[in-house]
Amino acid sequence: MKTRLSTNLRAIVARSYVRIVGGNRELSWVFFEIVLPLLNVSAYVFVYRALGASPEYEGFVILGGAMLAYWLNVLWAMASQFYWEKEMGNLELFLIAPISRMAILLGMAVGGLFMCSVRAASILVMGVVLFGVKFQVEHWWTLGATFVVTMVALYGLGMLLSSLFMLLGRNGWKLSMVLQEPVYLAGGFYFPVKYLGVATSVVAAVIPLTLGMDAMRQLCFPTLDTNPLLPVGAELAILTVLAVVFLWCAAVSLAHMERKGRESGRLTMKWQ
Amino acid sequence: MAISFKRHWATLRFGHYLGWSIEANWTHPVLYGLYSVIRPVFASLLLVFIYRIVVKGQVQAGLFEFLYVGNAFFMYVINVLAGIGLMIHDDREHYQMLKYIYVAPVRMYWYFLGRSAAHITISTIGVVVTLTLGVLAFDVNLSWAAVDVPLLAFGVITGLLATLAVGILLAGIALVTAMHSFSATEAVAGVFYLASGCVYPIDVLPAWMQSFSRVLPFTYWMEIIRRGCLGSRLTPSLAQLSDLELVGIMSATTVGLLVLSHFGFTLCDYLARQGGKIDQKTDH
Repeated sequence: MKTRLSTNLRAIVARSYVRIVGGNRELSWVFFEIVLPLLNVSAYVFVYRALGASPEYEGFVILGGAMLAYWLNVLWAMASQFYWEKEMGNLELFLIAPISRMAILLGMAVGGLFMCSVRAASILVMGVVLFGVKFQVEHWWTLGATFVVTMVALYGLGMLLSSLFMLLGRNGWKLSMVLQEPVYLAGGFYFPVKYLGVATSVVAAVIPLTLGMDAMRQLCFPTLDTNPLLPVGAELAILTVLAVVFLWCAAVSLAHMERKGRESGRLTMKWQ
Repeated sequence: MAISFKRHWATLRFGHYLGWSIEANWTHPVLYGLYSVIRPVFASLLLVFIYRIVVKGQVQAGLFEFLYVGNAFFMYVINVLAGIGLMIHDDREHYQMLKYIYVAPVRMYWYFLGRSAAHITISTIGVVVTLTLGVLAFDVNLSWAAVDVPLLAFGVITGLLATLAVGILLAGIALVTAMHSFSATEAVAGVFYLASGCVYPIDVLPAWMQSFSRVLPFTYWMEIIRRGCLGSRLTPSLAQLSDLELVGIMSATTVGLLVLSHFGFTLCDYLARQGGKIDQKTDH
């Protein structure tokens, strides 16, 4: 049965509404979601100060800290989300509704993106105010395009992970935990990723934030030596390819995992 | 109702067993072992890369060991507090078992202590692996000759007691709040990480934050651990304190925290019962 486009669009709006309105209704969550990454970011700024590093690294840390909010959102509110929905009994409601599963994932992504952007912007502003970081953007349109493509690719990855984690129980939750710290390192959140070596950087480039941040560092700090992995144009092209691949893989994987889940009866199994 | 120490001990043991099972029984033990060391090792690797590649090691001698050891031991605080944040949510709302534990003839303080102790066991694996890896793979200069065993043992014990005290207090707060336990525990751990100088001397912090650092027991804990492990004094503002003075400050603040934790938890427990929050379910 084919679902009408308007129904799917309504599903996207409905799922994102929960995140946009619900996520900001509880003010203490907004406070914590801004303050928690800021604490982490501040600690790394002080690490650089203690080590006597040049001040440009503080800018890299603030930029990385803002992007960190998106990575955490993808891990905990995209990849692991179906686990939560299953535990709370919402997943079966999604499955019996006459809508595409991709519409649910897209709604989650749109809502998450909005929610995170408020947090990321706050971290950037606080970074400027508290640590005196200076961004010298000359090419705003390129920066905007890089950000958008990075986010599409990143949330595409989140949708893929979400479908892969659909049948997992606590092991999916633990997998999200395991993916946190290694990506902080491999993604170059606090220093240019090229320092890890070209081979490691290329592998790490599977995570869209690696190339996205590398490009954004070049665009935000054009006068500094950001030790880039590739020119911005090349990174933008690769990110576009990644975005298409991840979204396609997410759609295929979601259908496959749902079918497997129905066959094995694991779609509604709680507390596993 | 008077409960014997034997019963408290049994509560603590079974709380520990339950905590360990919930944390570890989702996968094969070998895979679990790998999982439990990935986070701490990568958190340390991040600092290793910052030091070795970005800053190229052009800093004061011993600073690398300073931050590596501090970061390794601080895992106790991060893991125990994060675990407690999840614990209340898991018991009360996810598995909905808290009310059954409440009707059992046990003191909840001891039960939560046991559950938290499971996180200490898990963190200990991470700390030992991180330190061993540091010596073997990253040239962290740790030598047995420099280790002050009594001071280090005192530091580890009092640090863990202080962490547990904060954790139990936060568990109490989680009982009377709704869905804030994750963020609150993470925020407290984050503030301690930032202000206690675990990866840098507190002297690099702004003056107002240094004043705050000096009232945190974890600042002195970190200094004791480093003196116990490395024998060096790299935090200028704490260097003038003798080992005995540090031991005195740490003992006093730990006892203070334990008392605060006990009374704080008792109050929150009372309020949670009064408010009917023991079987509260806030997710939907």
